[in-house]
Amino acid sequence: MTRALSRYGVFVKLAIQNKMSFRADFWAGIGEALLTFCLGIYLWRAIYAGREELAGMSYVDMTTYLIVAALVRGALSGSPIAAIGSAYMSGANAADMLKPLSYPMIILAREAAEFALHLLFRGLPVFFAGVAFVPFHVPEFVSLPLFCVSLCFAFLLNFLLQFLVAQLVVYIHTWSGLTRFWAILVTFSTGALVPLPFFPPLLRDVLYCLPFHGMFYTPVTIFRGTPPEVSPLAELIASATTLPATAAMVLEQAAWCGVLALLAQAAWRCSSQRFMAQGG
Amino acid sequence: MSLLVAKNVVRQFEVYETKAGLAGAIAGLFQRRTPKIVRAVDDLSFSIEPGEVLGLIGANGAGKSTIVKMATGIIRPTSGSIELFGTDPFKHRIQAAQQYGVVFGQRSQLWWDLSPHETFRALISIYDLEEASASKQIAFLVDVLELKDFLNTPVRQLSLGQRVRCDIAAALIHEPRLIFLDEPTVGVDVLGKERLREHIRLINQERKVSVLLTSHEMADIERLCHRVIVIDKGRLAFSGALESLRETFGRERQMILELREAPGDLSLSSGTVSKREGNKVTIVFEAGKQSAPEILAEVARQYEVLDFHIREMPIDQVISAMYQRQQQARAAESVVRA
Repeated sequence: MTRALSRYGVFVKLAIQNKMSFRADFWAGIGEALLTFCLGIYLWRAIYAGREELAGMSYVDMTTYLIVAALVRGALSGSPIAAIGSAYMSGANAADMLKPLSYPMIILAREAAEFALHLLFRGLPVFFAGVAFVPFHVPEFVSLPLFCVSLCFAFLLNFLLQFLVAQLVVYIHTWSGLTRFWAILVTFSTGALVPLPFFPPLLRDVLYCLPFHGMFYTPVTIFRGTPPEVSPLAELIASATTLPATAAMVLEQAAWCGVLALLAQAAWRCSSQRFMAQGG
Repeated sequence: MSLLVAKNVVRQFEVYETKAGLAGAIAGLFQRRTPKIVRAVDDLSFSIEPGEVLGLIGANGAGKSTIVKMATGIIRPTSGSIELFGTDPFKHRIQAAQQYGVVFGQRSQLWWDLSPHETFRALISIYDLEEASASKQIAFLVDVLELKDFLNTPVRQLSLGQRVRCDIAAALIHEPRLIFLDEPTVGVDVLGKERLREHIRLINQERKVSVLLTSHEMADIERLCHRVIVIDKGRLAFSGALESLRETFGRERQMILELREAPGDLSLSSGTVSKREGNKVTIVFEAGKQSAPEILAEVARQYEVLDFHIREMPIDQVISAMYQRQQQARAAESVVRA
């Protein structure tokens, strides 16, 4: 296990070294995260327009939600679809395939490096800026460690879902459209911009039955400590295990990770049959 | 036991051709295009024996790189079988990769921002090598490939020749039994090519590493290979010893002459005029059978020669000559049978 970690750890280290050498990219990332956060704040300020509460959330609840969502969004701003897609289209993936390691695990190692960097240099700066300038509800201390675990599962969910989508590149031979579609899908269905309680009941029920809410809604809600509502699966886990709702939500994330890991493995097995390694 | 055995290997690709022009592009949005099936490798069988340097030659697009990708387990053959170290490299890619090394001349596998030294250290972890023996192997490679002067320079600042040498070293750190060199000399200058060939020859002789060398340069093949296979459009055109290839198909030379004036009729007792372009004439002759000085003297008697040089037939022309001869032989055979 330690040896395996060290073999894949090299890719984490190299990805960090590589990312740190592009200063402009680094500052552009922080700028993008800040502007996206400001957009959300102005949008919700206009929606609340002096109202005390909407869908059971006060304005401070909402700004707190947006501040934590900005932290999560910053941390999850890596794009495995772009990484896998561009490497496939240019044939650069051949170099990874020639290593005596699992290709999906190499990608996971690189994305883990991006996650750590984005958390530190995109998510946290925006989070602290938000805490300093926007109304913020200090969470219960106990929810923080659970939030960290949930954030790691959110990263895994994001990776696995994007890995699955990226396998389509082998069939459709393009990836840029997929990344744009993914970006809007995430904004819409994960609660990144609009918390799930704001959706119509039917749509909300559908979204709770999908894994996407585990990427944003779950960690953000756990950070706040008191979930206004949870998905049917988390409710089932909570009632079966007598765990608090927040812990059940983390277990739900873990369960989705397990299912998606199996699906990703099967998808990789299929797509690798059609794999081309473009170019001479 | 052979290190690699390929039997009746076929690899097909689906190629989607786009219709020309704007109208074609718009129509393409609504019509599902029917893919054209292209056979990049067609019923190919060959093997690599321990310690040998096998040359895989063919023109651009002949299927050389596809063969390397199948042999290394990156892509799967459409039909037929490949066994590398006794197992299917596609099914057991991770285990196979531990035992082979690969260099793609046109695509570096080094990390752009790292120095070769850092890259080698990273590879020790990736291949899970024992520190002492890996350091010894690195020292050997640094010495043989003459990497010392730029060992700590970032890869992006290396010349192409230096970069390829580092790529070769990176492919050999884990002491593979077989190394695939896919056009390692492409784009490298004449001196650099010579040095690379010498390095590869040394590694093959001193470490007994088997080599599958793909190239469309005859000089690479002549200097290094014990045996060659020639492929054309994915099919096997020739397999055998290099001497046999040279004797049979590679003896033709081109003499390119620059004359004072554009020549009219040029009567030659040996050699054939294959091309005329203004005051330049290309004469094809067979080395060993026809004398280059005699041809030159014969031309000089008729026209004033300003300059001349002799070059080997490009490999694609050698292959096309080979195919022509094979087709003629088949045609003659069918006439005799009839």
